[in-house]
Amino acid sequence: MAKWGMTIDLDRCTACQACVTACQAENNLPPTGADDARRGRNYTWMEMIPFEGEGERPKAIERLLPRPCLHCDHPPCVKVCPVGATFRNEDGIVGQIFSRCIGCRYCTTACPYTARYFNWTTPSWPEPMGKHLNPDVSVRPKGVVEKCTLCHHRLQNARDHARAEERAMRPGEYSPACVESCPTGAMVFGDLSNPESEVSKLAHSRRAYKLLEDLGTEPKVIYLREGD
Amino acid sequence: MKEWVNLNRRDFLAAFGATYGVTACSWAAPRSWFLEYAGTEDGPPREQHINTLCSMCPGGCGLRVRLVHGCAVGVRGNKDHPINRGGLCSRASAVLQDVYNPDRLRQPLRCVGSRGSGQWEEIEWDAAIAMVADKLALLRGNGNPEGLSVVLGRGRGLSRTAWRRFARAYGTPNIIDAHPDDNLGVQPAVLATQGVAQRIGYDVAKAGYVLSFSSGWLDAHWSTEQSARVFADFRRGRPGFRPRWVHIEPRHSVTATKADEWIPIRPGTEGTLALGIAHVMIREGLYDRDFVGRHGFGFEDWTDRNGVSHLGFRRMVLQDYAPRKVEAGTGVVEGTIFRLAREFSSNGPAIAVGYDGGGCGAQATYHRMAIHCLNALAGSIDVPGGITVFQELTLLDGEFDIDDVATRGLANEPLDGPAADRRLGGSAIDLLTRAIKDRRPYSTEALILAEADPVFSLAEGAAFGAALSAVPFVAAISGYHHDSNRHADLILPALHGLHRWDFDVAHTLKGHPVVTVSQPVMDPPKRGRDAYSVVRALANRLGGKVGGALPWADAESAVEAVLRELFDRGEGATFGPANEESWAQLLETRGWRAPFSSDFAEFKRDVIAGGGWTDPIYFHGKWDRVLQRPLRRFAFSSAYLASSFEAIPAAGDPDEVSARLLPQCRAEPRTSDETYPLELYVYELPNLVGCSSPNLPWLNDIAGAYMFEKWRTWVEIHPETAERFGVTAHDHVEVRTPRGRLTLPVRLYTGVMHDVVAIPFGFGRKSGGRWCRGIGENPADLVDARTDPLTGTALWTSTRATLRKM
Amino acid sequence: MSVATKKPSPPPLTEDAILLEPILHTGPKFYITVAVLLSVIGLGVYAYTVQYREGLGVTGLGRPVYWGFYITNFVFFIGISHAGTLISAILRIVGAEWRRTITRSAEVITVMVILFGVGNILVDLGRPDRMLNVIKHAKFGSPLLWDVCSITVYLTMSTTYLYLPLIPDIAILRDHTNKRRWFYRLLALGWTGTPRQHRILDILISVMAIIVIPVAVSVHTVVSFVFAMTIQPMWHSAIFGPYFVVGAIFSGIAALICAMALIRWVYGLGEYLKDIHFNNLGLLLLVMCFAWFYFTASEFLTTFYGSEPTHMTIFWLKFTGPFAPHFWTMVVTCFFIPVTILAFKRTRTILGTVIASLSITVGMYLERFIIVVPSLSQPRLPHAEDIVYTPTWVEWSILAACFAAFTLLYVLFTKLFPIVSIWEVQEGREKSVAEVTERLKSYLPKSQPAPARPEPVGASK
Repeated sequence: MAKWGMTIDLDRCTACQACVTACQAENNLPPTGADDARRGRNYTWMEMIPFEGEGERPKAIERLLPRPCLHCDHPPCVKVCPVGATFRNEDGIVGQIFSRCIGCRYCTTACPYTARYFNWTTPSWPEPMGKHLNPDVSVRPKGVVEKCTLCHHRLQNARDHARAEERAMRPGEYSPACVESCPTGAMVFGDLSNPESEVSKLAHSRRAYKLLEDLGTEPKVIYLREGD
Repeated sequence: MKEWVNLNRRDFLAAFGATYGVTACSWAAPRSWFLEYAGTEDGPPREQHINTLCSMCPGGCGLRVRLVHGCAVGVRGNKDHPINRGGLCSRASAVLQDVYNPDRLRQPLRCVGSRGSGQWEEIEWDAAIAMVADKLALLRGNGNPEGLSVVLGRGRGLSRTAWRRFARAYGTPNIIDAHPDDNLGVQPAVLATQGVAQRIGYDVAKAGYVLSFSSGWLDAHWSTEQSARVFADFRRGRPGFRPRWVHIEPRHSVTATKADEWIPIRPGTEGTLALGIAHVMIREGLYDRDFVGRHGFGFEDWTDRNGVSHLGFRRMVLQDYAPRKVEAGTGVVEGTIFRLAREFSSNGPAIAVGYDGGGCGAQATYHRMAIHCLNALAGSIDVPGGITVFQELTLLDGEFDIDDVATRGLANEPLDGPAADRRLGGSAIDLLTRAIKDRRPYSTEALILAEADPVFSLAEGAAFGAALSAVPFVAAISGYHHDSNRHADLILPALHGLHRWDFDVAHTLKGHPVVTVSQPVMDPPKRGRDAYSVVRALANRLGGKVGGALPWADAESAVEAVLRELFDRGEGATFGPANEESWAQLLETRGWRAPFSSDFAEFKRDVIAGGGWTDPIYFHGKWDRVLQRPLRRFAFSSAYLASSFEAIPAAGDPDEVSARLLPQCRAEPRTSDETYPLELYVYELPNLVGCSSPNLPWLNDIAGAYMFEKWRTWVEIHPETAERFGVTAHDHVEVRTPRGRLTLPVRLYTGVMHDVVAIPFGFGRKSGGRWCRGIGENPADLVDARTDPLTGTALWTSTRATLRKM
Repeated sequence: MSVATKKPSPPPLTEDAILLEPILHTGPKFYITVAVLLSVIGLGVYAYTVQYREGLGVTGLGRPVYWGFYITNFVFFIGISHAGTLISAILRIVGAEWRRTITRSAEVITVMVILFGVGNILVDLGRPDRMLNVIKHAKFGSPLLWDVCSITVYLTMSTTYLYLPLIPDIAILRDHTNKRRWFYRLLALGWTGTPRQHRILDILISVMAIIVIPVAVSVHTVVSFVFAMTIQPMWHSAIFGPYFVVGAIFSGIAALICAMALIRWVYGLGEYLKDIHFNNLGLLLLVMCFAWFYFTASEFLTTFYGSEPTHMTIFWLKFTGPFAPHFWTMVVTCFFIPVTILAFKRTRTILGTVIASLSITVGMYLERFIIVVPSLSQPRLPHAEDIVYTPTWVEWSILAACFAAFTLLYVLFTKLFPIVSIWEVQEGREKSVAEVTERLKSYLPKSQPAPARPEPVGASK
């Protein structure tokens, strides 16, 4: 099986947040407002995280990091789910079964990257905004946890196409919305288990590092440091 | 089939997790979206992908809209589009929230009750157009067509063309741009130095060194998509070579974060630093003598026709801009100035980027000239990796007959100032404010806001709002309520970009013109009208030669006319794959002829299906095109300005006179002002810059993410400055300037200069949709704007301020 | 009493009749109390229906503070529940005779309060309608499922453990009252008080007392594992198991003292719940105070000395940051106030112990709160700092309703069953006094003159 992952080259990335909005549109994230923001209720699966400089706070922002779910190989969230609503599949994708989740939010607290989100209320789209909803992705009801799925529905589509044409999936046939929209090509997506793939090569390059590497979560989203 | 049967449990779970159990969720979801789209009644979903134009900002990107059952449900980038090459910025992805926005106006609205009361009633289109037409006919009947002013906003392509032609046929010289900088960028400075009316591009992707002066390259560029892409190419496009980017700005912005070095500078003194750098380059002989000698003018002292000798750039810079002096004015230390000059001149091609966008970051023209002179000193004008001049492309610009009323009307001086007040051309909407108020040189009887919201976006927006109230009749074309059309008698909602035919001319940063066709990807709402048909209906109702200004029956035929003009050029090509660029470069050296067929129908089909047309060839070294009026040289001392001053007066100190032709950027050392000890720096929020719609929750949500902020306006203060005022994190302060006061939450931030308070611009609309009305504050209310002596526009910089803890 | 005298067969209760008073007579005060409690519960129920309809959005929770009051309540109530069964079991095993009048009230606390522990977890669920997924799709890798198991076992065992010593008393009720006789007959399981029945009961109680101790310890350890098994700063700590157990016993004893004082006052049981009980429990509480302080100190000292940045962020949040008021109030109410009161014989009165206990109850609630919330409010990755968790009226109402419902259940229990074990008191009077004298004697050297010198070899056996 493939092991899907991506590299994000922070030298190419301009922190434009195109990936953030592309993800929201692709995955049917509801509109939120000022009130939600004050209560920590608005969220995006892909998030731009500013890192301040070392030392005493506050410092100038030194790094801007787009952070999807990192799809850890040892995901702390999966371990703690009491009902198996979140799981790591054979492709290495950490998925979420919305229809099984009981909403205990154990996974959200266990994730060291805070990359999981909870539907505090029933999401709503004032008429006619609901028309833009992507029919490939379900709308999550209130009370369940949701997260980046690496646009798993796109993998399904790509697989179906390949199956219908009786061939293997081609590289680049499947890529998540964030990667596809990135204006700078900072995000490279592919099969980490294939040493010949571009993403594999980048993931083993000198600039590669993982976020909170010391936690041993083995993320499959790998960052490439700025600089030479 | 076998494979499906062999699904194991994992696969099943994965499938479940991905398509998310439609059955399970459909009961839980409040409405059945699935049934609407994926329902079985119509069989499997009908899916289409259509290329069109992104109308969200002036960038001119190509969209590929995904439709299911005729309903747009997703957008991707057009992979063949030369501007975005398949990428999308955040605004483009939010286009779906714009087109399906619940607060979008769908029917013309007439103000009932007093103007500004916010009470509206819906009326029919015909009645609305009759209302405007009657008003305009009356004005014209009285022989005062110049009493009409049209303020142009975000609309481009057809709507801009239609209004320009309409205004000419109607007979008013007052067609004024509300966002001059969006459309002109550094153009006035380019006009003053290179003498060209076209905009310039910075070929950053091939540059060896970039010095950006308060230029929000990654914060507030007019084409986010391109600026990001070329930045990435600049960084990593050349294996083994990673050039340096140095960013100079009072605040540590996104560009500063991504740059290799950030140098804080006092607001509004960028040109001073540029001349300080020029000083070192000249003194140390680090400039490109070849370019300056062959193509420069006014570098050395010069003598005019009357035999009067004038101060040259070299002498001025050496006299007045010694790094020590510059340090006192800008706050950038002497050593850094020396280092920057040496780095800049030894890592060619080097580019000095002045602010290239609109609004609050705009620098005074003299400062932009100073910055642009660095490009000339480095010899980066019109070289790969340097400055390109956009290839001109005007469409639907054909002549047409106008009647006598129009001729007389057009003979009037435009309200945004006689040429003397804006020597470098362009529009100056700030001067219109004054003219309306003073009713001089003549009074304004009617005003049309064509997709413009100057009350919100101008530094002196409030004054413009007051002026609007004084105009007897105001009509607005706009998709939403906003701060300006609050003052209108009538709002005419134009169709969204995804619902209409349109076109747009944009340029790649390498200078290639790109025409993108916009087509209605889905059925427009009932009773909706696009801007072109509104203007045409208006023109037709006025009749006579005014009606003839817009000969094309509808937007679609106007676009066809555009395509016909392109076809007739016989150059350029429809969009092709990315490798097109490389063979285009090959052809550049061998001469070039369009490869497309002689059949217009085929051409049209290809352009519409592919998304548009481009001319992928740029010839460097065509100095006739790059350096024009009046001397065909790069004017360190502005020959263009000299000609606009008509004659240089013989009397007086010649140096003082000729100094006005040179970049004047003298910055006084910081004075201790007891009442207002601080300086205000307003910057634009990335993701909201230039966006055609403010009511998009996705964008408002991420706009402040760089500062961990959401959905409000804050003020950034350096911790040490804050300490002096007894302000701590999470406090609220009142920021007071000579112009106004605002109470804002504080962010302590070492990324802002000492003694500067930085406030983001983007929120603070007083009317509009549910996601923008009453959110945050508008820092324009604080700005004590200064008028640019060369363009007449109001500048946001140089406001003094003080703080009070609440 | 008149009712009881009508009974022909069993001898009338004379000495302990007062223990049946609450069951036999109900005054207006009772109804007022019930009405007040019911209205508070009603508010909580209303709050929950609002939450059920609207989702957890009506709470003050958000990102990153995903857990708040409900989880705090859960840990707190499960902690309180330790008092009863564990203390009663330990006292029974060591044969502490002063236990006889207090074990019942302790055990009731366990059973009643554990319901609210579990209840709060259910209230906290985003999808309570799917709670059976925990069984249907049980995944035993999750500490939450360990909780489900151990709490279920604990609830069953402590209910049994409450019920067993209740049987003889139910028989007394069956025999001495006319009220609800079918009910008592059913529950008495045909108890007639034969020696054989007594022997079996004694064995069962002893066995249960032994089994229930490890179960009780495991329960709170597992509750701590919910936090300790994650890698979140200041949660991921090996000390959490014992720390939670100690905290649980600590808060449990405090709750027990409060409950006892209340019963004593309401039902006039001064004769049964004496100064000595409060004194002894007070001493136990004092010991737990030090134990708690020891664990708290080691937890914070270890964190501080290690100075790992992510942990230190949370550490400073508690020491000097926004949670400092909570933290220092906790230190004062859990340690300084109770120690000052309990250390001196003069202040270790009924009132003194009650004040100390109330203080500890508040302090321990705060302790649970600052375990749960601060670690969440500062995630490892940078985040907005001004999102502060403030519980809404819904959460406050449900918290209040939990306390009210617990009190109501407790009151109803006292209305159905004697809150002081009648038979054990009788047994104590009849047998244990003699037994204890005997036992005491066996501890001491025989009073006849002993050999002058012990044999040197025999000393090491």
